Amino acid sequence: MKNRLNEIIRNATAEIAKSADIETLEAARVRYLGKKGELTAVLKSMGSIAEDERRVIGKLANDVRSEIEGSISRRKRELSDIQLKAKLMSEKLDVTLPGTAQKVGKLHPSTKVLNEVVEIFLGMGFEVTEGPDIEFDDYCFGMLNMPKGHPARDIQDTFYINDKVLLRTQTSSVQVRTMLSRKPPFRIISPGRCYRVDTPDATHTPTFHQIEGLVIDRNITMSDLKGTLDQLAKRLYGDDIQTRFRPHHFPYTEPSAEMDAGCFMCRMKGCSFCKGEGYIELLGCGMVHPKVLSGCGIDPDEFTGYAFGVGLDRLTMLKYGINDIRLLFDNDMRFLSQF
Amino acid sequence: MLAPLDWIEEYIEFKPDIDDFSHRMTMIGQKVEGYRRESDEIINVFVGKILNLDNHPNADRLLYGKVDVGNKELQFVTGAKNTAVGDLVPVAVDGALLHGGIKIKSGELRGVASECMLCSAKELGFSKSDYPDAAEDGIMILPDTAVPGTDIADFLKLNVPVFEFEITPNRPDCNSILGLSREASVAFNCNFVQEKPKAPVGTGNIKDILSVEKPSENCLRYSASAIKNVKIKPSPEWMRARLRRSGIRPINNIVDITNYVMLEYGQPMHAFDLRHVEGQKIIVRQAVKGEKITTLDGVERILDETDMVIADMVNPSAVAGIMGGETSGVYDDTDTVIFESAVFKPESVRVTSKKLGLRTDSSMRFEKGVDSKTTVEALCRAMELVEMLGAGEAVDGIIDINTDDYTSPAIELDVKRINKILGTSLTEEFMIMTLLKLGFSVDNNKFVTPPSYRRDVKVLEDLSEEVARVYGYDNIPYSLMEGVALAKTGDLDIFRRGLKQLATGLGLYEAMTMSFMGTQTLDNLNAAADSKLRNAVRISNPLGEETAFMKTTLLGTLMESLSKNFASRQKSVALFELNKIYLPLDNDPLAHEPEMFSVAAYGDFDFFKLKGIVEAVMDYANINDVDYLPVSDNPTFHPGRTAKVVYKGEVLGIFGELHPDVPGNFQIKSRCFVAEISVEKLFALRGPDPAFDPLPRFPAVTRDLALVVDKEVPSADIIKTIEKNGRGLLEKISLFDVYQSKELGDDTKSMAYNLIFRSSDRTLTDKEVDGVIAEILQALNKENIRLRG
Repeated sequence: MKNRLNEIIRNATAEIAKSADIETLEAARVRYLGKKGELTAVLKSMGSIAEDERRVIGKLANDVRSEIEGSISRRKRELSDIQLKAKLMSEKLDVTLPGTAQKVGKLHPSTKVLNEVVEIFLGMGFEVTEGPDIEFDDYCFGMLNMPKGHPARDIQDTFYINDKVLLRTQTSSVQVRTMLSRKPPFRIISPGRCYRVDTPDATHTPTFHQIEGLVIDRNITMSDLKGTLDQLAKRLYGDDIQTRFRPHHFPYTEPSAEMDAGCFMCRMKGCSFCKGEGYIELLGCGMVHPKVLSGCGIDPDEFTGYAFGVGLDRLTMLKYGINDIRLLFDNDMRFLSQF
Repeated sequence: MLAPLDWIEEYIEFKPDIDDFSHRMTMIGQKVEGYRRESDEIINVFVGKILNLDNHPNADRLLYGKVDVGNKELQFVTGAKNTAVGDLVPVAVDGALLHGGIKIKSGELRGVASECMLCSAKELGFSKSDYPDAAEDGIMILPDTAVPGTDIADFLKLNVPVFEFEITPNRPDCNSILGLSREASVAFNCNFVQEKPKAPVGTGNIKDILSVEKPSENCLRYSASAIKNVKIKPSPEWMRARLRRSGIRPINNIVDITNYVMLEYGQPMHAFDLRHVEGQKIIVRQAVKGEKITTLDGVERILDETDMVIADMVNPSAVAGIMGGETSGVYDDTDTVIFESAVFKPESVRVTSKKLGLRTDSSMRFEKGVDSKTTVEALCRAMELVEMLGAGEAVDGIIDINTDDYTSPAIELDVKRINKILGTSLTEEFMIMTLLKLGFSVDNNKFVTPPSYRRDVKVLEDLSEEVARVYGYDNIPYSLMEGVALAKTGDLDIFRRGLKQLATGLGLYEAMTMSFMGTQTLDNLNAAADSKLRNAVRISNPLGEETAFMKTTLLGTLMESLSKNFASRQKSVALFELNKIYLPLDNDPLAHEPEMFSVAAYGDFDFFKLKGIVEAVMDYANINDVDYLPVSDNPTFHPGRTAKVVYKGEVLGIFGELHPDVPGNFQIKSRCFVAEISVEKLFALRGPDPAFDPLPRFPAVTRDLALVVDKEVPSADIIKTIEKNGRGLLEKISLFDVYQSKELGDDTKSMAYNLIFRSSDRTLTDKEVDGVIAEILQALNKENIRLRG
């Protein structure tokens, strides 16, 4: 009987190992462990043997059963692993095929750059303020130290609605509104649409976008102006980008400056983009002219401030290497889908 | 302003390196836009001496010969007839570059080897006025001083760097060589050296031959001098070269002198032939309305009282400060010349110049402002040059009428405040030294007076700029502002940004269009004659009729964008724009500028896609319970496929398919779908952020209802009836099928809805739900809606 049990386990183990699928394995289980199986037969014939031997054989038979059961469940796991693997392999995809297109649109590149600039200034404690496009002549020129007859307010350059109302040529008008309606200190930027009488060409459009800033406080210096605008350039183009301030002229600031940013194309080495200069003209700025302050009811002896203006369209064109400003207004899908 | 470096170097005791010069001038505020040399485009051209010259064996019109270019002899072929053996000529050798980018290679001409080319003046980039003696159709013959083998650029001094400066409007004094030299001397901290020209000493007296009256207040100063026994001829080569490099065409010695002085001093001058000054009297006056003058360019100009003229007893002879009259110039036989050196008010010159569309080197300078202190000195310089060039003999004396009442301000030098503005700690000594170098004077009480040519300096802040630019903007430290400031952007800005982001998620591309429109745009949109879209703000000086108005809808320009895309064969385009429209106000000179969110699409698009977008926008604004009401009377839109969005009695917007005429008006052969929603109203009526609703604890029971209804019944009505009878247990209802068939008949349709019932406090039983359904059906039956059998 012992031999019989050994034989069963030998045969069962071999058969289980050999079984190639769940069905054959199940057949093996029925053959050995089923109600009419071989092990069951052995157990059934145990009554015919001596009691002390029966105990030994009984234990042996139980061991055999649990060993076979173990083998079966091990094999079952193996087989299902194999099966799963085969299934997964059969589901293999060409992952280099294109993805299913999702209908998602895109923001205009100017909006993306505007958001970026706004974030940078919010981070430096600025407020975003807005004002009307159709504006009083006085807010756009008069109060910015450009009285009637000043060359900068020429009818040929400015769209007029009537004698007193025009399409703003700069968003500095919002700064005037702020200075008239609030008490300093404040730090504001005013993004918005501006207008100039320009027939559209690669570098001019009659509608364009400015972001102008104004800081008024006690003890604001030109050094603060430099520090703030230097940060703008660094955040936009990278920490290694240096800035350069050159004397310039604006009627509403004194001293006035233009800021060049190191060319981010060549990292200031000089390339065709920056015409070998290593720098790119970025914006105009300066310390608010005392006449502007006093005209807006701010005491220039107590407060100083700085102002700056940067062309959003220019920033956008620089950032993406766009060579024609008209593309920004054409809304050609072949253009809009690139950003 | 173009400035040849050698001219500037005449006035400073320093020979700057070119790049250093660019940098320092830029950093002191005279931005160098670039520089070039005439020799940049003339390469490998040498002085050659013609050794022999023969007829070409195979061509009647050609000659050939050998030329000595220093280290070798080269064979040439030429068609020019003005050369002879022994002539010194410019020779372009193999690989040479000539004016206009023309490259020269050796080759063969009709069987004769051509190893080089003899050049004409034109081929080197010179005009007749630059080299009046050079044959126009022949080879340029060089003077005997030329040595074969010398680079022509060296011989003709073409290597002088010519800088282009961007002169800011506050610095008209720098529209001159002297002004730039003064700046250079400060930038390089070297001496500025100028020997002042002396008053002319001659014979006779100008007062005997000329009198001047100046009734016009627009002329601040009028100075004049005279020369007699004038000999008109070309000016010397060095003068012609400087004029040419400065962008001015040489004419003759007298005219060249006036231009030379203008470039040097920034003082425009004019030369009159005394013969043409009727009554030998110059009157500076305003023109009479309708007065005519033919200017030097041959155009007849009609003037009025706003224009100023230089006239004699009879006729105007020049438009003051802008251009001389046809007869006012100098002629080959001119004997006596009057030099005018005057200053006119900038506004006056600007108005006339703009009106006549006539801008000259002279008017440009007057518009920016010319220092009235310079007129006499400039005249002296001109007389000095006349003598130097042997162009004539001075008449004694100068006529000078000066009514300029400008006095330079005295500004207290507040060292502390300047440092406070700049964020620096510069010393008083440095500031005074700087201002003195710039030509300012400083008195013992530390009051600073700017020179007459610096009328832009009026207040302390102006002094701070002077100090700062000489100290160097680069040397001012970078600092970050101290203190805490409340950073914020407006709620509208945040709302707008979110809406744009949402729109892109809905598959729309953001467009940006200009703010203008024309009546044609509105006609294209089929806008009715009395449409309120036509009540628009008009621009008084528009670029053209098609951009004469501020837009009252974004749809016109968006359709124009769609049109461009259609023209470039884009199959499917869906754009949105979030921007202002401009509506005139009755009681306000400014306009109402609400923002609109507009969509325009064609191609893979339909009404319900558009509605889905509108619904998503409403959801974004937390606006629920919106009514979508059919619109059939808007001529822009399809009468059966258009709805307005109504919320709390306010129309938030309109959307739908365009009337089939409209896409055609925009050259689009496709159905178009547009929406325009007021962001202003959307923002104002936006709902609060929703409060949290606990997740359901009890299961839902769902039922589908297929209903047969009259074709004209809108789904919204059916849903209303069902919701009203849901006993508060109906959580959600959604349409999932609309069906029409023969069996149902032409007038009816089947609408299938999915209903979800749920209670918040118990598990619903089928029986309970069946009861609700029965009530719903009963209510529907009353409206002639029945369950589909």
